[in-house]
Amino acid sequence: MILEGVVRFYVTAFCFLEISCQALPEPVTLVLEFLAGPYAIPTALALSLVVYWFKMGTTADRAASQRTVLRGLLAVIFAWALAALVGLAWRQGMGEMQFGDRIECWRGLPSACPAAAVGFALGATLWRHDWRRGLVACLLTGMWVVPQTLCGAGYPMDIVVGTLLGTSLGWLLGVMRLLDRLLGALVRLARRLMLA
Amino acid sequence: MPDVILSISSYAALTFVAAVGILQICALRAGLDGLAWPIGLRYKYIGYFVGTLLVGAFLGGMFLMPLIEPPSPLLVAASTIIVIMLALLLAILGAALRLGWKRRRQRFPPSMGKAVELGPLRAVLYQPDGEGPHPGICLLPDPTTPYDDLSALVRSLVWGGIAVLLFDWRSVEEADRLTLQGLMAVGISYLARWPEIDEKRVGLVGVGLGGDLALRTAAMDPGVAAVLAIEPVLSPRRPWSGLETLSTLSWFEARRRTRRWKQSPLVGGLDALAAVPCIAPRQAAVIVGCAGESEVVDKADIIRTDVTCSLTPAAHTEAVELATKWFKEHLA
Repeated sequence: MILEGVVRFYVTAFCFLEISCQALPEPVTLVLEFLAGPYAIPTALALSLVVYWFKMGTTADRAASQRTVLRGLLAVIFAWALAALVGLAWRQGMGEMQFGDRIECWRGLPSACPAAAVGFALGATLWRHDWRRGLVACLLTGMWVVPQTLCGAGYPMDIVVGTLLGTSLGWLLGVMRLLDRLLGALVRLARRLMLA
Repeated sequence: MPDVILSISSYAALTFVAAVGILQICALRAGLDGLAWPIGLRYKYIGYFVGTLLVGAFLGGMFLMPLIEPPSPLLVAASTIIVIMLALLLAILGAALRLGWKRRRQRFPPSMGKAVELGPLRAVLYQPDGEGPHPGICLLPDPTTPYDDLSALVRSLVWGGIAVLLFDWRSVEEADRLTLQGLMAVGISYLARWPEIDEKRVGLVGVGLGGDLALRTAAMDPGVAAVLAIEPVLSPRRPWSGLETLSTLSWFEARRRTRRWKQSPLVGGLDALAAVPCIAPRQAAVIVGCAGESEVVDKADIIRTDVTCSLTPAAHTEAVELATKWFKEHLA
């Protein structure tokens, strides 16, 4: 009963967003679908990492940015895996329950939004080094995940969970000094190959 | 299945175009000629325009992509990484071809100099116009990169009224340091005896590892009136690595230079620092730029420049101008 209450809250929170979005004119829906798709924003995020890798400035500045880029990539991989695990846990825990049809806005089992987890993990990692770049990554991620909800690709609470997961993971990886040596070694290797 | 292939290949093609555009813009902003493709640093603004156009093409294409069934996010991520790597490879290859072509076109015409044989060593003597006696300079390229194009430096010195004897280390590529110093002494005395050269105004200029040789030879040879080392290598610490080496060189050229530098026996016996105090009271100076080691040089003028780079210092206009000005002051 408690679980049903939790799931009901999870599914119905901000449910009005999707309903109100259905009334939007077609061009707006097209733009939202474009932004929510798996191509545009993720590629923009990846290309922003390329720009950050080749940042101008002194050798030390550039090495610090490159370590941040590598840290961000690690955060992305971990966030993706963590979001997938959370989704799996939801499925394992709720596989037998049949109350979904009784809940408004029900569109299947909830899960942590991998897009939010990945994007905000990257944003949080970049933020620790340069808040402006972190902000750009977070804004881009926002432009990616909010339309996903509006288009009905997930529950709004999926995004909240994904964001919490990604941000905390990105922040955690950002403060882990243990990684410095490994990332420094990778940057030095890239420097030897004249790519960093 | 064909839908997935169509989807992923369209996506990969668009990402590739965008990655090439972004790399073009990044390379131009960071001044990396060895990574700038299709347009080099010479036409910077056209390069920016082309890069922006490519990124714009990506955005336009992306807008049409919702019409195609999207592949799984994992496939998209994998293809993004592969495609960015391919774009980087294309930029490296393209820039190498462009720089190779540019180097071939800009080579200094050999007819302007007089070929000279100094035993096993070949050299080229460039004389200024007008009646002598002129001051003369022996120009020592870096022995690990004897094919370096020093034409800008030669031209500037000759136009400044200074005769230049350019050593061609390619003829003695396997020689050790003592042999090279012996050949340099032969070159200096050849230049001093040349009818149109003032024997009291003979100088030495060395580039990179040639700077070490120049300083050491000047310390031993009192016939050298002034010596200048351009971005000299003064310690066995590797003086360059990383992206900044691509500022004037292609990736392949930079790798070749690094390999040759590592294998050179001259690197193990660097000792110019001990030689510099012995040059006084004659004039000695060092031009240092981005990777300079001026902190360790004592008793020599330090001329600083922000634009030279240790790999191709003699190709930089500012270093060339500084060197010419210094010799005109001290050999006049």
